[in-house]
Amino acid sequence: MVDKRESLPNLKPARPVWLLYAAGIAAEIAFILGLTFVAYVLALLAMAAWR
Amino acid sequence: MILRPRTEDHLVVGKYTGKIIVGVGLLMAVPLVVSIGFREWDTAVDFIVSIAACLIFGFGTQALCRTEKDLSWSHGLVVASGSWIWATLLGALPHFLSGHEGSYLDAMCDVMSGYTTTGLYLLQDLDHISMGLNMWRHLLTYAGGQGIVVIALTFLFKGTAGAYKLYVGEGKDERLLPNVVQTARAIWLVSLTWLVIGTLALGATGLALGQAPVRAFFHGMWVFMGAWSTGGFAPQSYNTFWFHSLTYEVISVVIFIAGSFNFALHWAAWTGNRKEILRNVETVSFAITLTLTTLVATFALARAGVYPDAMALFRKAFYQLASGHTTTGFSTIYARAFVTQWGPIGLIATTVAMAIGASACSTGGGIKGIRMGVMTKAFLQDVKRMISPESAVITQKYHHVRDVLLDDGVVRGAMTITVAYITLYAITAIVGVLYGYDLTQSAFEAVSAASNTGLSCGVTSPSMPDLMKGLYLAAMWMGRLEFMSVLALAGYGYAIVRGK
Repeated sequence: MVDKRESLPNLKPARPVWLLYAAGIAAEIAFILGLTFVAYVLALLAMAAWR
Repeated sequence: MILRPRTEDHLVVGKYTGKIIVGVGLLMAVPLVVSIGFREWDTAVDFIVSIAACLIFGFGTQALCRTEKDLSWSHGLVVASGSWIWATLLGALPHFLSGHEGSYLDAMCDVMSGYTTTGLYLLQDLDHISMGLNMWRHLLTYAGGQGIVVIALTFLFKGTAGAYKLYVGEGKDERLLPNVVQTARAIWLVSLTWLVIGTLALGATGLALGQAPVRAFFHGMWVFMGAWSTGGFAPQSYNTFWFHSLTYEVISVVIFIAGSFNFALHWAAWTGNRKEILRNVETVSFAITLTLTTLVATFALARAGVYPDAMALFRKAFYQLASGHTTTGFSTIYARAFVTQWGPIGLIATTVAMAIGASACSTGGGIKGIRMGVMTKAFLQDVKRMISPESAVITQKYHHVRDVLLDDGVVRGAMTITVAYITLYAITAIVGVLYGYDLTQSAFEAVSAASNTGLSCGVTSPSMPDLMKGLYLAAMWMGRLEFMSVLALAGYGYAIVRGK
């Protein structure tokens, strides 16, 4: 039996916000990279102080 | 009492498996066109033979298995896991016919590695294979990242109430849209958009690095496919290290981290729900565990004094750890450098990152961020319960697209799959040790295979024992499908033999 919902193509985003999508993903990746880098710098400073 | 499957059950399984294998055959048309375009006639013949084999099998099975019955849950799981085996058996034909594989088992390992987005390979003389075969390797991993069943649902299924069962059988369970066929198409819409942008960015970088335009385009597209699908295949044996380019590294990091995100997260952001990106339990979990494992690895590398300065150390450590954690498998160091330079602590940090892996319903593998998030929240809930009065009602929520109340069923589900992954990692590692490999190296490689990562410290090679090759192949398959559909297939086989 054919699922009638097949005939309801709905692939367009509800709000076509391409730039905001790209900015959101970029911000998340920048946050992850930044968090790791800051933690790395703090660890380096802690190691230097310990020595 | 176990019921023996009836003829009707075999017909349903055969019919849908046939449809998916036809899809695999049609997919081979792409490398065939590339081979013809580059006048690689031998390779073109290999693909014509392979396409014929897939179409004969696919259409033949559908002709033999005519039925109007729709899929049940168990059928969906059996078709999903079984079709991956058939797709590997038949998809290995171009690899084997190319003459670059030591045996058919090696070819199957490489194809399963591609479908499951693992990235380990046994293919010999990678730097001199044809453009057509390279196209097939990367297309395999790109298609496998979205899921072979997702492809079939997108392009071949006009509508079936059983589609959702196939989709779940392939280890995905997010419905981005009410209808699962539309969900599959939404996944492809996001992936194809990234394909265009990623190929252009990497291709332009290749041009700037001095590659010829055609080569820059194909390398850009293939590296994109390896990155987005968290597959880790690259056209050169030195992987992304071959490019010696910070720009190439940065672009590939962006692509593979984005590829490791849950498709539900992409879809939320795509449709304007930007807050989801920072609130989602999987991205939070990923940020924390990536930071911790990178810190451990950098500590080991700083002590060993391998790299000349702090920035070089961070660049190398972050790339390998992010690649491992997203289960991509790209690397900018030589495979043996993990052993000779990174040492046991660096190896263990990378192993832990690979074991945790990427997000659920993404192209990645491993235990998955959502399970780590759920188990951590459950642990915190238990701690709160212990320090609260007995009459207190302690509830815990996690955020994944919406706030979800943490209940025992959710925690049990996360724990069950986590235990299954750890068991698979352990068994695969122990077999390596029994064959004489060092425990740390064997564990690294075993986790890399079972979490579908593909980083190698040198254990995986054409000369490794056949049993280990077979075990890695099975580990990649089980890890990618998250066990349930593989167990359903085993149960189906058992019921055929012992059922009444």
